[in-house]
Amino acid sequence: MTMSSMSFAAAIIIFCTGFFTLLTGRNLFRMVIGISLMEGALLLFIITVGYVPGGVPPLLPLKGLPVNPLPHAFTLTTIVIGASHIALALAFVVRIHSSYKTLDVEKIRGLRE
Amino acid sequence: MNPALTGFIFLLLIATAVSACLMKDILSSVIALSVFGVLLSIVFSILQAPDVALTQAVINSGMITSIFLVAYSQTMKVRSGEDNTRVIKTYYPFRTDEMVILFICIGLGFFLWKGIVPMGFSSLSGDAANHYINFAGVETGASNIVAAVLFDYRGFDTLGEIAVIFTTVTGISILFEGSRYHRSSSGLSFIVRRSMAFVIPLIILYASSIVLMGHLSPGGGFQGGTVLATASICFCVVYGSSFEAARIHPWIKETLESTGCLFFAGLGLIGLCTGAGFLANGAAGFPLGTQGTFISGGSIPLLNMAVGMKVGAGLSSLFYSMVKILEAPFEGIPGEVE
Repeated sequence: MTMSSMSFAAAIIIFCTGFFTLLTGRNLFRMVIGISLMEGALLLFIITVGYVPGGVPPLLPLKGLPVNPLPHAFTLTTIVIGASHIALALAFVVRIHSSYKTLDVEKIRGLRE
Repeated sequence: MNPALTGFIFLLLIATAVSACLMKDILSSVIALSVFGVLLSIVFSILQAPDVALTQAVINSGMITSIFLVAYSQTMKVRSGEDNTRVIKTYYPFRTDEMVILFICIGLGFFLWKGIVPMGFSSLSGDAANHYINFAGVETGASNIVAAVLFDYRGFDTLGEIAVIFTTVTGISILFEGSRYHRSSSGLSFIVRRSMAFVIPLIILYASSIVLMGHLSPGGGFQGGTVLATASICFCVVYGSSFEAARIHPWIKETLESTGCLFFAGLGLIGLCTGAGFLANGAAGFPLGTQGTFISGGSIPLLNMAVGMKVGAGLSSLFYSMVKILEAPFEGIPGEVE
């Protein structure tokens, strides 16, 4: 297996794990962990798209064929923004807990029936 | 790199992700998620993306874990009349609906893989990437091509993305409006406090070197700003939660954050005034300098500083908004009233 195919396979498996966590989690924290896992898988996917076998990092002066710098620029900002989004989600979790006194999705009033 | 070792790291990555999903205790899951993030940063450095690896490492070890732990501790406070039972999940054996979801996820993964195979695992390289690689040194004067793309070619995107951080900080501040600082931890022992006093200046030095050398080496405003925010989280952990609130007023952080944003926009407007376009670098008359020296890259180091201020103050105030305790509107909290 080449480096890229391994990386793509890992990204897909982690994405599906995160999706499973998001759908089956009854605890709100578990759902946020699922979102975080999906985000990590997506970052891995985008970075792998720009990977060149035997490439060097995109720093001048170049000592060989560089990898594609464009996905790096995309993901770099996405990581910081992802962290702030997760913080916002956790803020909602804390707020929900202070209103409903529970973290169980199925016990939260208004989401069922 | 040795393929066997690479495969082992990928296996570890998948194993930590699955354990973050399956572990019964939320706290264990959070720690597994943290390990997952650090392993992901190792994978990024194997994939020749040092900038992304640095960002992922500082964000995961510094920010996400601590924010998770703060939220966890805020929800686990025992108050009267509260359903404090942990939702403990038993995955073995799976329930019927979980089996259905498991099959849906496996099917999703299968079709995603089927979609990737026709791409032939070849890297995507378009004209834009080739242009950046060939001409970034001449056109921007920066050695780090990623920084050149972030702050010169696609500077407008970056402005939008720091605006997203601003929106998030605003949202969290609104959610926790009316809550107040509370002495939730009194800090660690004397030895840790004294050692931290020696370490904190070095952390801040490291953060500023990351910010200021962003155009020469992997790093930049996003990474350095996050390290700065991590230093302020260290204050909370080591010296107690009321330490920083008493010394650094939130107003200072707000001012720093707004100044960073305005600085960024103002540098963009200079380009507009000279007729070269918003966020123009060399064309707007910024001296590009000699590539590879400290004074080079035109407006890129200045934009890095602006982003560093913005991200550092933003993430720090985001953390401290969550440290503030929520006031329960209908009941007094016994033993916790100041």
